[in-house]
Amino acid sequence: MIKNGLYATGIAMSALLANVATAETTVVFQGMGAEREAFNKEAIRLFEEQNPDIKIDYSWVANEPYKTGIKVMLESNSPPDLYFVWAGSFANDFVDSGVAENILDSYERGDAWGEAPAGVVDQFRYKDGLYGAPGQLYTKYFWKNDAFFEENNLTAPETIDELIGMCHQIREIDPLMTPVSFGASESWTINHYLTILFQRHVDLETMQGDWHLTNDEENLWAHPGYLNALKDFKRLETEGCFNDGINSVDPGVSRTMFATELAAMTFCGSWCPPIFNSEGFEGKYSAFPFPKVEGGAGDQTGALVGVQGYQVSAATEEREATLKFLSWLLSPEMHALQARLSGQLSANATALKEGDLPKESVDLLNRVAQANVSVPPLNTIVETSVSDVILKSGQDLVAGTVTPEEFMERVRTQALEAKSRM
Amino acid sequence: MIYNRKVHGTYFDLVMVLPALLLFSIFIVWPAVEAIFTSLYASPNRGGDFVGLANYREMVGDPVFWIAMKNNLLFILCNLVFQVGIGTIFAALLDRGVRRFSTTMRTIIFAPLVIAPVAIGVVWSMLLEPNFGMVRQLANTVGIKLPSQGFLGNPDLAFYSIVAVGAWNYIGFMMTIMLASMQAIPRDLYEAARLDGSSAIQTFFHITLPGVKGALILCSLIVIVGSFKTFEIVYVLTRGGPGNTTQVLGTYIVESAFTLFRPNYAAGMSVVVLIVAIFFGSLQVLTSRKRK
Repeated sequence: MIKNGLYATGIAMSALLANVATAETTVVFQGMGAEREAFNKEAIRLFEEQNPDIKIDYSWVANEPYKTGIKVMLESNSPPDLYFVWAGSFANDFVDSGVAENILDSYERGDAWGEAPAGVVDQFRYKDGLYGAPGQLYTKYFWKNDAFFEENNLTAPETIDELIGMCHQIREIDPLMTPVSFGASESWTINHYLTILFQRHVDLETMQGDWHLTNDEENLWAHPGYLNALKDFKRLETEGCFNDGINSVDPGVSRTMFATELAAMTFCGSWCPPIFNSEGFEGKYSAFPFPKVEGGAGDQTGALVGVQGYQVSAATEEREATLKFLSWLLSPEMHALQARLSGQLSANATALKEGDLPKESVDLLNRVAQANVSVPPLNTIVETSVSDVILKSGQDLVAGTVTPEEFMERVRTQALEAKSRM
Repeated sequence: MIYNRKVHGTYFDLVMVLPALLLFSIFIVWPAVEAIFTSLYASPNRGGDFVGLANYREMVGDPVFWIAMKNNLLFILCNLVFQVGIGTIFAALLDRGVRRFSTTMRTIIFAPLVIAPVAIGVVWSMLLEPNFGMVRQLANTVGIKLPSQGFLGNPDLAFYSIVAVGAWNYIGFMMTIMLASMQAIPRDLYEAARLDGSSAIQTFFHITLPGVKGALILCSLIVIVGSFKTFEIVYVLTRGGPGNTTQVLGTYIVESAFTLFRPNYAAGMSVVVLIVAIFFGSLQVLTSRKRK
C-alpha cells in the first residue's frame, strides 16, 4: 500500500516537474490579410526560437470579414492579445470601447517598435495615450499599362479633365479596353476615390475640422469643394472611364482586369504590386499620381497615405510577453524581412536596404515622401457613423439614386447628429 | 408497451424533458434575455450607460431600420408568391401531370436546397458578375443588352435578383412538403372527379388545394419566419447595397453591431426580430393544434 502510494506520489511529482519545465506563455496574435502571412509566420518562427517559453498562436482573416470579425473577437470573453488595426477612427473606436491597451509606457521605455518615425507613431495617439504600434504604411496611386500607353502614344494624365479625355481616347482606340478598372462591391474603394478628390478640392485645415467634427455647426462638412469633388467622381463614371457594374464588381476582379490587360489603368493601393506581379504582370506597369484638379482648394500634390499596425488588448493576461513579441515583430530587422517577404511598405522605411522592396513599391515610397500633404482614407479617420453614410452614399451616387447635393446633405445631417453627441 | 404508473409519472416526464429544456434555456432563452438587457444600455463607445428604451426610440426614427423592415416584409410577400406558389405548382405537376422522369425532375428541383446559402450566394455573384459573368456572356451571345450596373449593382434590380436566387434555393423544399401532402390525398377522390368529368384545373382547385391546406399554411409560416431572419444570401450577394437598397434586418443588425460598433442598438433590433418570430411561431403552433 505504502509502495503504491510512493509510486503515485512519484508519478505526480514527475508530471508536475515536466509541466514546470515546459510551462509556456501563449500570446494570441490576430492578423489581417494573406499578404502578410509568410512574413508573420517567419517572424514568429524566429521569435519562438529565441523565446522558447513564449508561444505565438497566430491566425489571419481576409480584409473585409476582418473589419467585423475583430469586433466580435474583442467583445468576446477570449479576445486576442495582439491584433491588426488601421490607425484612425477604426483604432480609436476600440479605445472608446475600452478594449485597447495604452502602450505609452512601452514606447517611453524604448521598446524597438517605437523606432518608427515619430509622425507615424503619432497616428496611434488618442486621448492622452498611445494605443497602437505602426507596422506598415499604405498609399494609393494610379497604375498604367506601360506597353498600351507607349503603343498608343499616351502619357499619364495630369488633370481630371485630361483623364476624362483619355478615357474617351482609349475607348476609341480599343472598344474592348476598359480605361480604368474599378470594383466597388466593397464600398471602401469608392471611399478612396472620394478621399483624394476631397483632398484636391478642400484645404487640409477645413477637412481636419470636418473629420474630427470640430468645425462649427454652420461650416461642418459645408465646404463647396466636397460637392465639386462628388461631381468630378460622377463625371468619371458617366464619361465612361470605368467598367460596367462598378457596384457589383469585386475589387479583386478589378485588379485582375488590369493585370490581364483588360484595363489600361487602375487606382490601386501599395498592396497591389505584389498582386500584379503574382499574376504575371511584373515590370509592365508603373505608377502616376492622382490627377490634379484645376482651381481646387487643396494641395495638388497630396496623396492618400494611411498607417496600419497593431493594438494590444486591454484584456490581455500576458501584457509583457505580448509587448516583447510586438517589439520583435516591428523591430528594424523584422521591418526589412517584412518588406522582402510581403512587399508591403514599411512604417519604418529607415530600416530598409536597397532590394528589400520591389521597385514599384520603392517608387511609391519616394512619391509619398515628395507629397506635400497626406490624407488617410476617410473610412479610417472620419467619425464612424459619418463614415458609414459616406460609404453607403458612394454606392448610391454610382447607382444614381442620390445626387451629389443629396449626398452632402446626408453627410452634413449625420455629422451634426454625431457632433451633438460629443 | 404496458404503462407503468410508478415509472411514467410527472417526475419521469420532467426528467425526460429536462435536457431539452436545459439546452433551450442556455442557447435560446438566456441569449434572448441578455439581448433585451443589452438593448437597454448605450453602446460602449457612447458611454455604455443605462438608457432605457432610447435604442428603441432611435430605431423608430432611423430610416435605414425602416428600409430593412420594408425589405423584410417585401421578402415575405415575394417568397410566398415564388417559393410557396411555384413550389405548389411544381408539386401538382409532379403529382398528377408528369408521368416520366418525375424522380429525376424532383431531384433536380430539390438539389439547390442541399447547398449552403453562403455557397449559393458566392456562385450566383459569380454568375451575375456584370463584366465576365456567365449571365452576361449568354446575354451577349443572344444579343440582349443587360443593365450597365449589372443585376446586383442596380438598385432597381438587386432586391429582385436576391428574391430570384432565394426562390431557386427553396422552391424544392416547398415542393417536397406540398408533394408529400398531395400524395396523402386519397386517389379515389381524383377517380371520382374524373368520372364526373372534372378538368385538371377544377380538380386542382376543388380537391388538391383543400387537401393540402394544412401543408400550405405550414409552408407559408416557414417562409414568413425564414424571410424575416434572412441574412446569408443578402450578405454574400450585396451586403445590403448598393447603398442600403437591399438592407434587411439581419444585415443591418450585423452592420450596426460590428461595423458601426453599436452592439446595444443591434441588440434592440434583434429583440424586434425575436418578437416578430415569436408571433409567427405561435401562429404556426396554434394552426397545427387547430388542424389536430
